[in-house]
Amino acid sequence: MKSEKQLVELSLKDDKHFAELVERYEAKLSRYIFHLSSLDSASTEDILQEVFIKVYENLNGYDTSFSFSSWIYRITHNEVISFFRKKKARPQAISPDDVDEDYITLIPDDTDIPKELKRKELAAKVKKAVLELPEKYRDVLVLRYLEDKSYQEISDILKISINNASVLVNRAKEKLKSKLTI
Amino acid sequence: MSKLADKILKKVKKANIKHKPRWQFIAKRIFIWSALIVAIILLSMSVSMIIHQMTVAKPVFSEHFQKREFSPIFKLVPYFWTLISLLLLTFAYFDFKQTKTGHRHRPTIIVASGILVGIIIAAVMVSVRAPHNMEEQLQRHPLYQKMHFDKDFSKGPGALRPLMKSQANNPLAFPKN
Repeated sequence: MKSEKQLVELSLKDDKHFAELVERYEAKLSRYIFHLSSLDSASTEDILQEVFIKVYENLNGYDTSFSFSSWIYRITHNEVISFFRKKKARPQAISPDDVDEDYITLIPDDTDIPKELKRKELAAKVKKAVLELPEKYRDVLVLRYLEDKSYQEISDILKISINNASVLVNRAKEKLKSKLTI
Repeated sequence: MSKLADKILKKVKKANIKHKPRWQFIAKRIFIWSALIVAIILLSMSVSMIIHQMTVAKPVFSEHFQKREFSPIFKLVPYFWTLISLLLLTFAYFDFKQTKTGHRHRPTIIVASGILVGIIIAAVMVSVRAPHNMEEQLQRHPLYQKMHFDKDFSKGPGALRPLMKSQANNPLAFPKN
């Protein structure tokens, strides 16, 4: 299997290799957009198209000293923000059926949660709380716990210092805990 | 090929979207680093002016301090150059953040490094009398003259006087030795 750096170099010469890059990241970025926003599939696809077109245009600007993943996640993050600014919209209401149960992993250990809540309902509650957090906290929580990104990757995606990423994650967990406990 | 990949490639072809040329990205990086270097040099020059003005005003400063006369002391502070230094430091900070790994560093480290580099280069400039020569050139401009407080307090605090005209009484005259 070709590395991403190889695919980038090949994509500059032949678009069929770019299609391979799209296929590698389509599902991951789709999930990332959903974690950030809870948009419907049509809007998610619109954003994804914008992301990959931006990637296509800026392939020569990709710096190989960073991971391709961090670079494409950064573009995706910016496109989601841009989408909400254009639409002047907020993330949509959440149906428990649409929620990834991975959200349950975000719950801090010492949070007091009613035991009778089903997993799907719990995940929906957590996702709602996450989407209500200020953008800077939501972004780091999603990247750290749902996308499994390291602090260095979070730093590169959000263009913040590594130390700041760590501080924001801790503060985000506290904020989330206080939202879930109310 | 997935449906999305096919859609994207069709859109790229239809809209005739091209890869941006590599030189554009290289030019942007060069511009950012050049702006940073220029900002640091200008910052060092303004810091050297602060050092120069504080150094030559030191005897007057000490005299007023001993007499507990604080109002004249405040007038000796080089506000203009301090403001210019702060503006340049702010510019250098935001410019550095635009570099490849600038975002990874803590703001306090970036600012402290900028100040340290500024002071080091400023000290070199002071040693070669660069601020003295700069002061001479700037004194020819009426706007610069108006920005400086009058250092001859016999004329009263409100009077404005170009600094270099009377070297004998001028506390900001560069020491001959």
